[in-house]
Amino acid sequence: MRTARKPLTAAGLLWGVVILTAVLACSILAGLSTGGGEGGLRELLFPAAGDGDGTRQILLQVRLPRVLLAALIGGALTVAGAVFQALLRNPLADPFVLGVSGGASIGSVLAVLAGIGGTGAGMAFGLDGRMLFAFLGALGALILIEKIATVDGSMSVYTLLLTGAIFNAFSGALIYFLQSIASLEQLHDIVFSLMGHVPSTGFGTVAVLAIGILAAVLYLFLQARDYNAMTLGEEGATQLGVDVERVKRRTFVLGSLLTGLAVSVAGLVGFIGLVVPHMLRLVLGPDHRMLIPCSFLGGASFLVLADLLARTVILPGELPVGVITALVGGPFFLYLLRTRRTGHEFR
Amino acid sequence: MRPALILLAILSAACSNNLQEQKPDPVSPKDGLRLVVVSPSAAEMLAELGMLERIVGIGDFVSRPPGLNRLPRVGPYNAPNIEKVLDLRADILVTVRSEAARASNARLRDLGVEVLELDTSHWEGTRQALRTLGDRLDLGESAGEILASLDEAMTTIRQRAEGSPSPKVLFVVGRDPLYVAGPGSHIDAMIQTAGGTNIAADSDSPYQLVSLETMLQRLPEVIIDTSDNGPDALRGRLPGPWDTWDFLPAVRENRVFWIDPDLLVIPGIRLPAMTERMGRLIHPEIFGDPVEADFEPSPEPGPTETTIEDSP
Repeated sequence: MRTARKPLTAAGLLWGVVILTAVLACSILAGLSTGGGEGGLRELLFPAAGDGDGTRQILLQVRLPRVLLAALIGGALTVAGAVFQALLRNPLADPFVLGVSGGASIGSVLAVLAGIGGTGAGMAFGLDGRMLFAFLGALGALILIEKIATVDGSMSVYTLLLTGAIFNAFSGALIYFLQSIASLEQLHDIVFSLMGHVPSTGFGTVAVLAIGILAAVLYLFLQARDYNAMTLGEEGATQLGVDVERVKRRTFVLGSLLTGLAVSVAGLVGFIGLVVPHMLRLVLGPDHRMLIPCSFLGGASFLVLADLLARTVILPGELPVGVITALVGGPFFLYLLRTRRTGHEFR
Repeated sequence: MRPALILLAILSAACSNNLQEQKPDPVSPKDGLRLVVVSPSAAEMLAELGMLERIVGIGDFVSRPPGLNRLPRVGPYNAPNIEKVLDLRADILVTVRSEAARASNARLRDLGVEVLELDTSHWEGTRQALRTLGDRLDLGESAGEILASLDEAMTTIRQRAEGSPSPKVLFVVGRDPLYVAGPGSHIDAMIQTAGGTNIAADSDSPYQLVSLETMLQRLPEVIIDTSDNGPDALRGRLPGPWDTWDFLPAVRENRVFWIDPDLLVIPGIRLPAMTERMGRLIHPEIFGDPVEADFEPSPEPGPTETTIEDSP
């Protein structure tokens, strides 16, 4: 990141996107090839007559939507991480670290308590009340954290990260409190709604998430030049003609939407928004026109592969995918803390 | 109540593979012995032993016999409220083994309350727990008689199911994500005793998050789903959401059963009755067709649901 890089060209962008699309395609193929069932790509692509044992049906209705959902959730959390890092000019920013995931979790639990979340309840057209509540929780958390961290009109990155950490502790305590007052019928749903686990949903839910997530990612991509300008600081960006407040506001809303959608479906999947953008920034450089689409593709690939591990490593059992991402992300976070002490090396 | 009871069953199974019976105080029980019971299955055993009138407080998850519900509650088994237990002047706290409650149980012992930790997560543990309670309460003879009748009931069920084909059974504790009963659970033992094969028997633990794909691919012939706990929960013999998988023998042959978890998931002295219920679901040709009470608890007290007023 400290070496001078050539300016991004259209060809460079195209190559980056093509390569990462190929990586994602390979990840999806790997995800579809292996799983708890015996079938793989061959059964999916070349259906045998009859399918009496349901192999192809399992592949189509369990494995395929799950792989697609993992890709969407991974992409959403990674892009959220990338834009939060751009806004806060710190590579440690991530929906999980900032406390936004914690806010989404509170929203998700409140939806269960309100009787519009949980298994089956409140579902319509693949939509779940938890999605709305998780989004509102994420947005509320981010606004609150940003307000607290802003002193005299400027936002200290360290204060922001510290506030996020404290908010995470607070949201954890609040969730314990909500669990304590929940009726015992709701307890089961709450426990499972917070587990970092990619579910096997219907294609309706996949489609709704795809629309929401891809639209948000596209909009954030259109702001990529503004994020580039903001690497100079808010003052520098303003001098370049960027409406900083507007960019911040929209980023907060869309980043929260991405986080909320992901948490409402998969619970807490940590660190992915931290690890993937940072690695891509190291490889591809800091230009957000490249970073945002590649973060989506890279994050999608990462979570598809993490989920592949989660659902195959202890068969017939499964691991929550949050375990895998945390095992990778935790040490990586510590590595970043050790090597990026000043927090001003975001270039 | 029920999901918490499921969690209780899971946790008690997870943390109690090796029964370590507490050494009771050698002091004999006396009239006026005050018991606080936080273990649902122990509450049912005490009812069978005719000790309901000695119970002065119950845990949050205790709901049977119904007459106990009017007593003060002292928190869950894994975090009993020490002050409340002391306030009730309890002589004995009857609980299940729990790592989470280790410190509070130790503190209660320091403060003079005897803590009886039982393991009722499987049949042998339940038998031992009944013996422990009988010995401690000077009711060894009654406990022995109850045990003998329960053993006889279990033996009879096993013998009736012997020699019949062994259908593949999927027992669902949670559906999204899929959580099932595996080896070491009382549910696994009940399935085997009732003449079935648990398709999750190769899991690593008594209750485990498992791959939906794997379970579907194993083509269960009977699905017993206790995951629906909401106010309008599915009950009875119907495919419900499992009809998505119309290739499953259980769906094709209309052998998907939605059952209140309280009727099968909570281990303890009701195991013979629960195993017979399991038999009706797995082998109706031997045990008879399932009846309405096999899906939802009857509002009237059952054989072990005597109220305090009814107890001796």
